[in-house]
Amino acid sequence: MMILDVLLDALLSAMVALGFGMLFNVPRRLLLPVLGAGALGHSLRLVLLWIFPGSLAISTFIACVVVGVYSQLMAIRYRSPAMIFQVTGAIPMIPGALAYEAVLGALALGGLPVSLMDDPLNHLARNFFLASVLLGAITFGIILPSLLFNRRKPVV
Amino acid sequence: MIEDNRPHKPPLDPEALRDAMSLSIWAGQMLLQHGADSARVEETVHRIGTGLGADWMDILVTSDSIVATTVNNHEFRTKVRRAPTRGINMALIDRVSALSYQAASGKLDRFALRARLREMDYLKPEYNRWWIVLAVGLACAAISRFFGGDLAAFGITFAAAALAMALRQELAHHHLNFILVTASTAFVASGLAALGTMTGVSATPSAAISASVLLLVPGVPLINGTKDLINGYPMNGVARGVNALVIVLCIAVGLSAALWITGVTLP
Repeated sequence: MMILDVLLDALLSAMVALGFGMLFNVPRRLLLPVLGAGALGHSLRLVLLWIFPGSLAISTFIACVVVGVYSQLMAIRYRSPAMIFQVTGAIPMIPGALAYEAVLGALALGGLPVSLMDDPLNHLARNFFLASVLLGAITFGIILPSLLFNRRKPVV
Repeated sequence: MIEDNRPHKPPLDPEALRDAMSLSIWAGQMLLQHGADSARVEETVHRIGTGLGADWMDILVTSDSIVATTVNNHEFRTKVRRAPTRGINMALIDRVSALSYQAASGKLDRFALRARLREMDYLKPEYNRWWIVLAVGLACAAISRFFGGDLAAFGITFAAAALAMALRQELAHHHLNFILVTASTAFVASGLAALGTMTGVSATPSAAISASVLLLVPGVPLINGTKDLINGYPMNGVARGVNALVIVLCIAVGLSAALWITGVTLP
């Protein structure tokens, strides 16, 4: 049952990567590894959440490091920029819902007719920092391998 | 006069130096306009310029323009190029990046590189727009499952996001300001999703409504902005972060307007 859950999650996140990959005009020859990046990241995070219950940020970070390594390998294999795999691998994990919850809090504070269940300031702060921590975990995790793999002398 | 013992590449004639300048910054402009991060832009411009015979390049990348100087022996050229954002295009980034390596290894001279860069303007989109509409609808529908939505929410999200994506393409095609495009797309997506859930077919209306607007999520500016912060481009990182924040704000405005009109409340 758990394996089925992971497979379903991988399938769904591959669909997310496909949609955003096509939206971002990813070259057709890279579509398969891009689907792999999407499926790998989000489903691995699901597994990690079972191992480390309640720590979304840590699970996200570890999953993103793995996607980062995957992106480096695919960049070598397909001779193309790693960022294509990094971005599409990270997209399913982007905390879009938290970000917009935070903005709803901001709009409510600004006096717009937004119905919230809790205090607007609390709503804004909590969701904003949750989203920021997740976003930092995603981005730092995903580019950490490239920082370690290619330590070139700076060009300037 | 101090004697200069540093090694130089062979001197370039004025045309060759001008081409090293203009072709490298042109490639950088394309990358910056279509969603590359600052480090990639700087490295690519440097790679092309030195590949075409310059001794050195100094490149200043901002969030929407590039200033660069080529140096060859004691001659130098400086150029400014504006690069306002034109939407994400990974195929173009892939091609220009490959061209830069070919120029660096000497496989492409300046005439061939100019011809190849000009081809980029006529690059056809990789996918038909209706396939993109379909795929984006499915992507948002998949996200509604992540939010715990049921099968009816999946269908509602698919329809709402796909229709909103078609609208977004149409509005962007007519060069409407991106703030208006984002807010009206968010309004239509969440409005359609709210209307769909008002029929009562789905037990999880909020999953459908909040997933339907996620086709607008500024994933690339957020990732590139954080990348820029980590790679030592704090100004560009902040600028991209502000850009992403404005887009999120537009989404929220469109969404709350739709909820207000339909009278649906999100728990």
